[in-house]
Amino acid sequence: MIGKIRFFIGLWASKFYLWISKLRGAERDDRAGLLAYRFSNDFIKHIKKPKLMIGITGTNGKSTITSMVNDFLTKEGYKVQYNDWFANALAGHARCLLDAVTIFNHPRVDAAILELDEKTLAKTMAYVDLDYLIVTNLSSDSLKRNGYPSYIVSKVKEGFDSSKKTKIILNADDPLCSFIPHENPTIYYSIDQTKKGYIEHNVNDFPVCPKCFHKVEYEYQHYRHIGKIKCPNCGFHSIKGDYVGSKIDYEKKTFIVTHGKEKEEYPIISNSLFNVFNELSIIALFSDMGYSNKTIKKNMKDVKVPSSRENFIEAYGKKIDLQVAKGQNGSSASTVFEHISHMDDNMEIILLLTDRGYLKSKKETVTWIYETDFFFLNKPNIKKIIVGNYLAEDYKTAMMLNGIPEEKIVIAKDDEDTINYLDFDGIDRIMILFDVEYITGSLKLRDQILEKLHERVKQDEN
Amino acid sequence: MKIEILYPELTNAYGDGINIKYLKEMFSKKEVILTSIDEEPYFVKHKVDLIYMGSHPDEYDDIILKSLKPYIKKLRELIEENTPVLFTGNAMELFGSFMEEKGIKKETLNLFPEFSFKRNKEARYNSMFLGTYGDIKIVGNQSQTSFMYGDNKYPFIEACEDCIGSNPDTKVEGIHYKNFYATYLLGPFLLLNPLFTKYLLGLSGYKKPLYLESQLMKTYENRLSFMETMEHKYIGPE
Repeated sequence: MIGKIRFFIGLWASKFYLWISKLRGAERDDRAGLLAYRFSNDFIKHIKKPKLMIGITGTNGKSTITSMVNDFLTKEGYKVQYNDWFANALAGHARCLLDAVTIFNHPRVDAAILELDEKTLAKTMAYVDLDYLIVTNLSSDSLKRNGYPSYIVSKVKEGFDSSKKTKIILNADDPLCSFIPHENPTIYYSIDQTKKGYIEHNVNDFPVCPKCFHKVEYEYQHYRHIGKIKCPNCGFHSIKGDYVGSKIDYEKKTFIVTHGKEKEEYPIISNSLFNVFNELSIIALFSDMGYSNKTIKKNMKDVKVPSSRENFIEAYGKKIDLQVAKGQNGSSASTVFEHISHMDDNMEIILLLTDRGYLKSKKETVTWIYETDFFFLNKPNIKKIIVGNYLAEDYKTAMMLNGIPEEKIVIAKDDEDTINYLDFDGIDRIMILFDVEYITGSLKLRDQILEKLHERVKQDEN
Repeated sequence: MKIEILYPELTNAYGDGINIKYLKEMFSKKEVILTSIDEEPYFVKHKVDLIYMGSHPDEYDDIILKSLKPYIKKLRELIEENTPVLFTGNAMELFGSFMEEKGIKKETLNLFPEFSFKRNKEARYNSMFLGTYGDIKIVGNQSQTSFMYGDNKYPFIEACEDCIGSNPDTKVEGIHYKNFYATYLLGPFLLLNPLFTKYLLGLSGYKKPLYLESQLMKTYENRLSFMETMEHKYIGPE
């Protein structure tokens, strides 16, 4: 009883706080959720949930998928609640759900989508009655926070076990998440071979067979540890997908999804393989929810990768390409670098990956910089890589260790100074790779580049 | 040079794999021996100039202990004969008398019976580290879920006043006995500490410049320049 009273005081207080925040235009913030927790430790247990609850977790891609699921459901006429500023911890979930109920704790939306931090998954999953949980992938992340991936695997397992009714949608091509023992109903998705050969990365998140500790072999590798594995010693192997993507055509922007006897062509919404994986996971979700291939196909045309993750414009004859590549996480940056290595444009790259929170304290662990696969950027068409902050020498060392010629690496005074080193001449594409916390700063830099290009055109005209 | 890296497929965690990459870049394939978990260590039957082992995920404790146990006597002999050895990160944990976790004690290799270890996976200690080994300043990262206890008979690094050593109650970090060095510091230790790397490889008989030496020195000096200013504001735990 006392718990319920505390919950309602928390609900009303945080709703009042949220109302004030909305008046100030500052509602995209977790503070209302934090306030709710101050009154009630089990706030998310008591709050009523909408009819449809979907969670998304995993190391990389969860914000993108959360946004994509929202696009789809909204198109289908659902009233959806989700945090579009990607708050994925407990306070963020409370903030999301308190906006999804009335002051009498009655649901006022049809669906809520929660982006769930993998480390604290069990703390949320036990209380939010998820209908579905999509797991994107698991890999190395912030050393300080997550340690080694196997620790996070154990946390995700705790999450699965805390809500055994939740249907799990798992990436079969990621052995770290697809081999987690669990009892939940499960749908697996995978993609057929996308490249030949095997690339040895600086970090291998799945080096040995979990059964016999022998080195695993890849039937094929998509990127990093994502692919189809088998153990030559004991025969342990990857799980087969229920939804299988194939024939990805980046020119036509289509791919085929096979489910049982059905085969359907879908549009691809991004030219990066990791986003094709993200798209496939939501095709599996909506197919399992009962949507026809035709409806899914139609809606996918309106599903977008959020502009905070990918942002591309073409102006003054140059492509300006912004891509998120999480700092403190070599797996994210390496995957983006591999994607860039498939591009043939002459390009200059600005790296804005240093964690914003550490710019003052200068206590960022540099391990991830050295683990990142900079060798993917060692290509003749990549003319220059510019980096500027207190860790710039570490970036330079890591790049040189990965074979990048010293003369291609430029150290600027700081992040803002990086654009002063762009040459533009003979360059087709300018890539800005930014940490998730630096969206605004990277957009500002892009605008400054546009101004510079505009001035160059004006000078040429004169 | 013959450098043996023990079980690189398992002991490349927490960034320690970059030390392996660095050694592989600096020396030829013939000089760097990668011994996998199901092989007999090269040092058992051959002369080696340096033995290196990095961090491993905790779930590989048992398999590494089992693999190394038959050869611990030989390893002890080599250490007594002044063979240079470097263990980084949690590799050190396998060579004390026992590891305690959740009140359960597990026997380890007892190479250094003076020390034991206590682990709590839910409490990771993170810190930027600055210390000294003789005249050499040592920089790096601590990111660990265990601490070492025992007497400080074989001190390696003296932590600066803002940092802890092998546990929160000591300034002594790691183990140094003859040419055996072990430290909890992890990640690209050899790259971040070119002066120590030069010293260690010197013990192994290597007298040439380090691979990327001038760039490593620039990075090292850059790090020291902000670590040593502002009254050590930029070092110590978060």
